[in-house]
Amino acid sequence: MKEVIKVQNLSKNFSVRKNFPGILGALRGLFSSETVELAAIKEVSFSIFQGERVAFIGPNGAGKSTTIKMLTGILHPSSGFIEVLGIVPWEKRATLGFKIGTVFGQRTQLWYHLPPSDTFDLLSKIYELKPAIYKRQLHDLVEAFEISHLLYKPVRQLSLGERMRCEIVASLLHNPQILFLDEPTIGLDINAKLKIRSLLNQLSKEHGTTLFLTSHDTADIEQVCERVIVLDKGMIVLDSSLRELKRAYVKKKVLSLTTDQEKLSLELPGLKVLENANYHFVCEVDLSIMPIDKIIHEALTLTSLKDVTIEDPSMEEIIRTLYGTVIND
Amino acid sequence: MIKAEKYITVFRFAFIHTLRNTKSLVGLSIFLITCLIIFSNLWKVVAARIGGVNLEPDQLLWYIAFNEWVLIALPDMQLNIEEDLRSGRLAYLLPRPISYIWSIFMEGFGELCARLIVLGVVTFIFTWIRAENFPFGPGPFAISIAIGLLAGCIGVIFKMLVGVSAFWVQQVEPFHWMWEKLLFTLGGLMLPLIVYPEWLQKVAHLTPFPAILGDRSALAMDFTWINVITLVGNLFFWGILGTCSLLLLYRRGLRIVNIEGG
Repeated sequence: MKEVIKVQNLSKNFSVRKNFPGILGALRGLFSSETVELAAIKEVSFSIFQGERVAFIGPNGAGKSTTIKMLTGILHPSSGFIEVLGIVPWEKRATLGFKIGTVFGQRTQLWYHLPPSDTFDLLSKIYELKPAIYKRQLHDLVEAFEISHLLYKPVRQLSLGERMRCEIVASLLHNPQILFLDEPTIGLDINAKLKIRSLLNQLSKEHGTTLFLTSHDTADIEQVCERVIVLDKGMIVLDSSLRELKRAYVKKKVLSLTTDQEKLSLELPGLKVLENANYHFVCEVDLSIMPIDKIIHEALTLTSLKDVTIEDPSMEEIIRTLYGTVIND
Repeated sequence: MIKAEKYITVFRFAFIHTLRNTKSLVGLSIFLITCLIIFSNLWKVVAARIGGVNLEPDQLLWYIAFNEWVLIALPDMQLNIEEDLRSGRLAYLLPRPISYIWSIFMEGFGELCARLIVLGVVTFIFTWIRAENFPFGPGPFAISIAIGLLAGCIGVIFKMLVGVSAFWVQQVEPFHWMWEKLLFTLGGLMLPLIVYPEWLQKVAHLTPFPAILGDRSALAMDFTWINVITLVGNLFFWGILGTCSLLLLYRRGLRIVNIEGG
């Protein structure tokens, strides 16, 4: 598989003006030019291959935006090497611009008083698309994203979800090989979120577009990505597949039993009862203390089971566990 | 050719975008008419008390009309640049294969043209009715309009210069406040330049402000080819100087973004 992003020993330091506390400190700051050196990214290395859907996550201030800015050529690194689609981003930003797309959830490139079709026309000129290619690409995207009824409506009249679908279409018109997404579902309702996620999956599967996603919404990660890179304090603390992440960090499961008894008297170590009424017994199981099969076996000695459900904890729970263990270690 | 087409398209959409924002155009027109009424009365008092305003009452109205027409049509491009920088939208726009600064200029130029047309109709009809005469031949009037457009362009460039100061100061409002107050005073909007001390008039003519406002409006009243050539030469000088300064500052500002991330 083709390597589309190659990052080696990437570091970025910022010189930040020193702030002094209090009123006297503020006055001192007016005359002081003291700066402190902050390391935003420290010796980061990773590779991303064509068609991969990668979540790039981490707590606030971890260095995600800084990395994205370096990958898109806006920010020059202090040291290290980046190649995106065979191009060094900060050396040939405009050339790279033809090959990548960006979707930033809280920013817009649509003209507020004009219909999206006008912005699309403008972008076709900016990306120097041949009219026939633009027409075909627009047609395909309009079909896929179901925005034909929105094309000629002024952007100010669109809902946030409709606008976001149009934003993504705008970013895909030039058929980018890599799409950088920063909080693409922020502020959207649940249906709009589901729609955007399913469209991103479809896009990646059908066109082989590489997705590089940053989001605090764990459902975005779970439903779109297959690989997770976790950044903290400028360093990669985890780089694994989503399946591997779940396997390594799912230490608890939720077990639901439908029984013959109205209440079940089951008390075992590592078991936290969440619900025990109306023939339903729900508990959280700490797998490191108690295996699931043993609980089921114990339950069967007390009653007969009509239904058994074992659930993984939510992605949010996994990420919280991850942040609590890997990042604090 | 392809590159020029990008910028022409930006201009075209900015023009249409401004025309579609009818509420803003109505608001600007009301503000313009209010300014015309206030300034025409203010200047009448100035002319009566201080003297030195060598214009007939109807000419005075037309002078103020030409001033206000361009002034109010100037789009606030400095705010767009400031907003792009502060919100981080610049990071979104920079990777696109189009120059950010030139696309902002074409956006401003498109907005300016649309506003000049709409506000021009409002200004000139209102002033014609109020002054009860139209003291221009078609040639001088057309040339005055074209020079108004040129002066507006220079205004956009200087407002963008104020805007790129955001690379260093984040908030451009203090600089914009200074630009506006200097334009109002040294441009001959608040008071006619002729009532100022001679040394201040000389200082004013070392700045672009009279060419953008007062001198340009005075040309419409006192149309001679030598005045036209002098004024156009003056405007081109300030236009070239402003553009060079803008590009220089923008490149330096961009270097800050490249190194410090904005």
